[in-house]
Amino acid sequence: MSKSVDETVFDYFALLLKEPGEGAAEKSAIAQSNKTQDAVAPKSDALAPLVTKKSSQEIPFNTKPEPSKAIDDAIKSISSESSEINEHFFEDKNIPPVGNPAKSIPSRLSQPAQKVLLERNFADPVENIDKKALEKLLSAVSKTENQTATDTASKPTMTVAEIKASADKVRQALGLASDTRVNKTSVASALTQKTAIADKEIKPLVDIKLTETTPSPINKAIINCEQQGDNVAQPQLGATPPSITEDLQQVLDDEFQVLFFKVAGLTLAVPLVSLGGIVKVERINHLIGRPKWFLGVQPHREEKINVVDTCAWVMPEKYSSQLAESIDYQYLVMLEDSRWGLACESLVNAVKIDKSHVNWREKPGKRPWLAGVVKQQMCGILHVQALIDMLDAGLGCQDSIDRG
Amino acid sequence: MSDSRNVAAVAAGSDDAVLQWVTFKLDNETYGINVMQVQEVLRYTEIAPVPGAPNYVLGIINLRGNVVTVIDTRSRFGLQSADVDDSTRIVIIEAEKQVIGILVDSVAEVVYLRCSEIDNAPNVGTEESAKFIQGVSNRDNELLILVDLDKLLSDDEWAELSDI
Repeated sequence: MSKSVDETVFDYFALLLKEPGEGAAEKSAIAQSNKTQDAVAPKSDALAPLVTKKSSQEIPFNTKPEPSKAIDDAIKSISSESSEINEHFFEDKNIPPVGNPAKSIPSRLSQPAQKVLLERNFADPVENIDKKALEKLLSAVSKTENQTATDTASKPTMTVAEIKASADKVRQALGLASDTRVNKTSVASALTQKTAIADKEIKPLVDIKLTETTPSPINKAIINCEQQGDNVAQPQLGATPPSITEDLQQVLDDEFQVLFFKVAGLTLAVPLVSLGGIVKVERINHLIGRPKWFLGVQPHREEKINVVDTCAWVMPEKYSSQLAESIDYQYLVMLEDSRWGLACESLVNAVKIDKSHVNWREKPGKRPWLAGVVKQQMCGILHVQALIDMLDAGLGCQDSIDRG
Repeated sequence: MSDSRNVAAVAAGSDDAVLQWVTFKLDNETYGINVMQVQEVLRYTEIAPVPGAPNYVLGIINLRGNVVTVIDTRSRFGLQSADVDDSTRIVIIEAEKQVIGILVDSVAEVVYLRCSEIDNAPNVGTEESAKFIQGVSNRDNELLILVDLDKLLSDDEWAELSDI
């Protein structure tokens, strides 16, 4: 198990902090420990006993020897610009003395944290490590990293600028952007690690999002179909249809009356202000060469009403000869003062509705004749003027219209 | 045809000329054709089919020694065919300098219409037959559909008809 450069450097700093604090009485023990360390040093796992920054962050109340005055001064010089680190490492004044790792692990630690502590064994006494041992330990890392670490290690007491420079070197070696803030340099490695881990976790999420926003083959097909549909619907005039219903809404009061009428089971609503009248179907004269939806012309009071087969116009896809035979038109709903009359089977009623009870269509679409949907009755409300424009142009309900 | 209309209009002595129209029935609709184009109205007589003739041609008849081609009006108007009965007539007309006969369900009367009484037909048709109608008129609360006989056939068809 190898450690990152940052961890190694940080471990080194931790050792530096510990080393001067050794008592003279412990020197014999250090010498004995050195032998052991020398034997262990070539192994990469030798880094494991070192206190890592990460573990220190995770467990700030970890064992830390009482620093000597010199080290304390060094710490203070650094701490002036690294308050964040100090908060993690030195803020806790109730740090217990170094001891048996198992014993020193506070009971308030969660089980996983305790496990980490035990596995890493970083609470093992490190007071016996000297510079030589450290050099051997650092030799385990790459040349560049080693150089950086060695440079750093050669100076037990470092100024802020030196720390900054060394951190930048380390970051450069890792291919990271240089951080100008010194108080973040030591934390940056851990953050970098965490960020790297987070990136691994986040990237798939980002990919998923992208996948979600990217049209699937089916969606693409649907879009293509819609586009093709649009293209099919446009050839007559090929212009933007009248879309928004602002003009109609401006004409209407907040509360307005509508007439509901039925055609082949479909209920439609027409605002009374747009209603030109109701005419009983008498005799509709068929004109040759007209579309299916054009029923013919009915004379009425010296006028001629152009009768629209509403079912055929509104639902051309459902209109069949069988349906045509079953429809029994009784009335003509006249559109404003035009000659156009919509044939209907029955008149339901005329009621007052509030503007807010209509889900008005706001965007341009294929059906400019449809002003919106009456929420309560769940039926379409007609945009009569747009409908007249379309009929005058001889367009079906799915054709676009040029108003310009 | 336009010359004959002008004559009628001049005869009326005003801008709002009065035109005479011969009305006939076809599939329960009343159509009118300019009286100046109508030569005579015949009862139904045997129509001899012509091999290789266009589908809108019913055949030919012998009208006092002259061969006259009879047009299937129903077919031309896009209507379903109907059986011949006692009221079926062949109207002999002159259009595009040709004399032809058109088969109709019945012939009703001759009506007088002012130009102001004629409205344009709703311009919603895209089919070829839509151009046959030159206008509509409301007479006695009944719609009269006025037919432009010159447009009954296209130029090519008129030329083809002359070769029969």
